[in-house]
Amino acid sequence: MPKLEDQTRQHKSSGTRVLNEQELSLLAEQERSSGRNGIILVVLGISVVALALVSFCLGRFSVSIGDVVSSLGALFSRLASGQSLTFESAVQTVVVNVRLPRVIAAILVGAALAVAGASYQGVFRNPMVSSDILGASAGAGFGASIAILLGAPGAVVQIAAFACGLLAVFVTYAIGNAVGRNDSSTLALVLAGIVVQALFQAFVGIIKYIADPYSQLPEITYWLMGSLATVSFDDIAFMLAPLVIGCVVLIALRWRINLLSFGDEEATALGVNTKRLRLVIIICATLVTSAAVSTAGQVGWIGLVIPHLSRMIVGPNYKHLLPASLLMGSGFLLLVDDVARNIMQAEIPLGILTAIIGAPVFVFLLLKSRKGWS
Amino acid sequence: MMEKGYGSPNSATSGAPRLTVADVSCGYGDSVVLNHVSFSVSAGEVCCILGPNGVGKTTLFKSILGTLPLLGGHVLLDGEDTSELTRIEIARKVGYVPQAHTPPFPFTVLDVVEMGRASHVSLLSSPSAHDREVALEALNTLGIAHLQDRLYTQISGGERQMVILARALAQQADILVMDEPTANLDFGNQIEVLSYVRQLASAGLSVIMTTHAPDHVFWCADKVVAVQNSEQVTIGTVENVMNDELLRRLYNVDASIVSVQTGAKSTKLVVPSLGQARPERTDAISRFLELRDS
Repeated sequence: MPKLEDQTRQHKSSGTRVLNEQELSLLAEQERSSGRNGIILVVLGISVVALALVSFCLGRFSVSIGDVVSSLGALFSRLASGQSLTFESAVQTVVVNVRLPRVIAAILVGAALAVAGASYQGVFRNPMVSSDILGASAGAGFGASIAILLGAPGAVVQIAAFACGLLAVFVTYAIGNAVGRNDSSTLALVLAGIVVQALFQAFVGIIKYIADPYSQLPEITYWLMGSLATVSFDDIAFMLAPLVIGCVVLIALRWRINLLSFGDEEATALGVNTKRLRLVIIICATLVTSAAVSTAGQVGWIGLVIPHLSRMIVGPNYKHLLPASLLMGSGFLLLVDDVARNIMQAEIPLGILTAIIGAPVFVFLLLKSRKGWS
Repeated sequence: MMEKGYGSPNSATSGAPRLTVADVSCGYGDSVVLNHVSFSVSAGEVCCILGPNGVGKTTLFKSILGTLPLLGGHVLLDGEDTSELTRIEIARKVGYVPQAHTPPFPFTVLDVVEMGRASHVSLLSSPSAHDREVALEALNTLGIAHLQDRLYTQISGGERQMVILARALAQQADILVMDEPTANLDFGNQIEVLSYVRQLASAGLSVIMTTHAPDHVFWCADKVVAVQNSEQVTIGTVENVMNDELLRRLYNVDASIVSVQTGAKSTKLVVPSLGQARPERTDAISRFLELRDS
């Protein structure tokens, strides 16, 4: 095999060897496909902005796109000059004080749940998990309900949600490992998640049972079903820090999530400190999940469906998958929230809508990919 | 970050051991699988590890790669103790070629090979254009550049094994640790992989591989580590170690090693004696077949 010897000799002399024509065309091909994903991400980004603008217009009080832009312009100029944020005109009040927090919350919560879901799937080498299935959402829901029951302030609600969410994920992981005998079997992890989820839902049931039926019970129940109706700027301020920190770390580490999906032994041999990386990613994914849950309640399915959809569009490489999931999660929740507040007289809880949309979409994805997942 | 090619220029001739396994005992917790194993591999050498199923070849690999803590002894890479090296430093010296299995996500072949660059990519970034170039060159070197856009989950087992080898080349390590690289491959692909092993070693790499086919030792190895059980390990050059007696001890079979002349070249082969039917087995089989008829 003279070819190989030539090639290896070339390797030795090459840090900067000139590529031959064939290789150059291959590289160009790669650039194109990488460029294609870049374009997709830009298109997704523009769609999210467009959806956000449309969301400002929709509602019982309809606003024209021109009014939306001028109101936001007024907001920014007031922010810049440090004037008060109370507006005289009804249009401006609706856009800035009613719809803006809602739009921001939808973008943040959707992004958080999708990014967390995609990250969990990579870390657990399992395309069938998400915040819901691992019990993170149920755990966070339980932590937050206790805090609400005790009348704790927003920051404490966040911390309780995070602590219980993290506990739930690690219990799921431990049970899954014990049942699957350390080979991280997909099915064992999913079953363990169902167990943990059921357990935390029972705990939430206890809290509902002892909550004051006239004030706390409706609040907890409605919040658990998922809603952005009552989100205020204060709520956003509470969730912003954990959510942004978690997402930034996950995005920064995103290429390494690929390595974990080959299993610990291979990833270690490739030079990865697998234990530390996995821990950091689980903590960050749970942090953003619990931030989202303590603000918007349990909005299911996004973390499972959106990463699958994103994978179909940009492929499984986390370099592109995580940003795509982030944008698609935002866009999806904006859309769902628009439906939630416009389709009927009364608002429909988000969790109900995401389940109604997510369940059939997921079945469709399962049928389409037909990938064995045992 | 220091860059280097495949092997330093004089590596093919240097005699200093690149990998030294010094009095290593390995196993899981309290259960010792292998005791006091010592051998070394230099640049340009292929070392084959032979042994029956379940004797601890994989355990030894895990210990060399540092994924399993040593129960005793030292593993040295270019004279440096692995216990004092970071994961990244080890990964830049040793590339692991496991038996190919499919990951849960349908990565493209180039994505997979690019992952070999992990020890050269800083923690918070993705592979650069240069990393991609190295990955492509690795694919080119093995003559499988045409696979780059295919899905790793959809190519054949033989192709997948070559892609994993390309990933280890992209790692630009001087030592390749290959876990049964020919398992599950058809005859043609086995020869393909083994001839690449031989040529990569000629170009200056060091290779340690396990195999279940003792013939492979004659085809591509310089050294043999034959693991009979936790205490009995025979180590030496192919000529000194490979004989009928060793095969009987390792695999409990009668086999003879024969020389074959093909053209100008002479090769050795292991010929097992399936030989005489054992009367007790013949009886048992015919009794069972009669059972079926009645």
